[in-house]
Amino acid sequence: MNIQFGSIKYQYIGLFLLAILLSFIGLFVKNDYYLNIFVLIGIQAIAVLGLSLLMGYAGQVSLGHAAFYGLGAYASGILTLHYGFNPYLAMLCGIAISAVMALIVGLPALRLKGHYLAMATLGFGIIINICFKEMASLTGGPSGLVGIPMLKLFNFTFDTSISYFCLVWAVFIILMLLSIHLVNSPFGRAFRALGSNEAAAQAMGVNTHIAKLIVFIISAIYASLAGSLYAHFVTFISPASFGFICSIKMVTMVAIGGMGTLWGALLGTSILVSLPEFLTVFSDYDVLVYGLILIVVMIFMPEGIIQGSLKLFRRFRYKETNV
Amino acid sequence: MSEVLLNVKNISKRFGGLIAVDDISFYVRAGQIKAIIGPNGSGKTTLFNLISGHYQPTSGSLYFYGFNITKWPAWKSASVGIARTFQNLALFTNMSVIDNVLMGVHIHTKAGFLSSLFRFPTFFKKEKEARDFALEKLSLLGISDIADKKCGDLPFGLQRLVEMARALAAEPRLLLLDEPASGLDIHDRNRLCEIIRQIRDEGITILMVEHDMNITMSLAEEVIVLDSGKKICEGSPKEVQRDPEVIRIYLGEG
Repeated sequence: MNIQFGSIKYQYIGLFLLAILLSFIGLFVKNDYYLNIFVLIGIQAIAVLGLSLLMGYAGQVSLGHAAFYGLGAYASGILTLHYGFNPYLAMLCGIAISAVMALIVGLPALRLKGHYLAMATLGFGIIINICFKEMASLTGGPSGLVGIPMLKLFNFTFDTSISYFCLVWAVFIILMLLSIHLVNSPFGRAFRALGSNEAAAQAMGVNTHIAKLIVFIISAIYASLAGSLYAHFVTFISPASFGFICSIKMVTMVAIGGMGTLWGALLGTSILVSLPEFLTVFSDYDVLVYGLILIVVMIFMPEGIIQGSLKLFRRFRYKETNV
Repeated sequence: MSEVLLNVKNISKRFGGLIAVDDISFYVRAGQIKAIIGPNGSGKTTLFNLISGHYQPTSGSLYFYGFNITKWPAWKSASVGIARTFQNLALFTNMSVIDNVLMGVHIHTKAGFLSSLFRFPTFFKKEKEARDFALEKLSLLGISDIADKKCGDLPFGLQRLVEMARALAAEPRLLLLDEPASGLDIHDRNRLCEIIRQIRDEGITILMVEHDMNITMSLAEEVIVLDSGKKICEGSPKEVQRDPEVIRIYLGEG
């Protein structure tokens, strides 16, 4: 079975298994600390899922996605705190702002290729982060915004870890389902074609510039939504959470999980968010071990953990049948 | 004489100081097979890239069915019926064969974004139609059995056929073939000739660049000879073979 070329049926099964696994986690993990880690994984995974569409399918790099993540978070924070917006309306505003920003930045930047595109998006990310720091009257400056309200649905407040866990993962599963549908449609095919060979995609009648813009905007929307969810979960945001390192981490999550598979986004995020928790046993050396693990994975599985393990599995089976 | 499909008028392409295509004009008539030959570096592929819209000409103009398509980008030219293959193959190697051919059908699939996201019933109907059509093109070339294989894993000869199937799936009016026979063995070359004739008989006009003189001379009704970006001569294969200038280019001066 090859996940990438397997029928969409396997994807549905995967999604179903994920839902079951999550219900078990929700039912049996009582410790709020661990639940919070799962919530953070879910939030981050939403953003990384979008980036995976952009990088793994359309083949465009963005080193500035933390900007959209931050725009979502700050839009939610500022609009609810300063202007008394309904949180959901603020969330939608954040999405609209991010989409427009992606359009404005993407129009010129997506004409660039490879390293140049990486540099342009990197610059964009840094500029937005400076705005978060300097526009103190709105954003609270380096010390950030405190007291962002929690999300409410009718009379129910998402104030416990378990309730937020359910909310975040429900959003993730819906987005995953939509993304699976997207990549298995003529649009997804065009995105993959564009990522694989741009000149050939043009020869197939794909307006590659528009296609890149569309994926860029979709990924910005995912990141913005994740940012809003983050703001309402931690109720405190500061520019440090949306800096350059955050962008790099998102790219690493896509790469570690594997380009060209949506499940790689989830796997990469789960590993990179939870790994530091396991590495606390190394106390001061945890960062070193973290880096070492990343290097080893990238050397031995350059195509990411999902494709890499499938390859290993196939090789193993091939050997078995040949003995 | 049948109608003029493509009219190339005084077209030039300059890369810095190099003039890759220098003031070339010719017609391609509907239903014919026309070949462009010339030594390496004579500007054949550049000319192809100009016609397909992958390059923009420095000067001159292009007319397709009388419409001025000079400034059109490649995707737009593709959407009005100019399909092409590439000299060194430009398959989507990480996609399956059928997905590659489905990309060929792309200009004819009017899928809605929401319909794709939420899987409306029309989505499945359209996908099935496109898939059946793609499979039909694959079986036309006798390769429907490899539909679900990953393109990058296929041998070169098969990849050539997949690329041809992908171009045909666009139902083009003009098919540009850039060295379709290079890298094929003698058996595959004969098959290729049959296929190209079959395509022409279906009413698709073909403009091809080819080094193999046997193929060019047996298939083409008209031949254009390029050298150093200039058109040296144009005519039937026989006329071209007798042309002293062409003999000089190919055999060298005695």
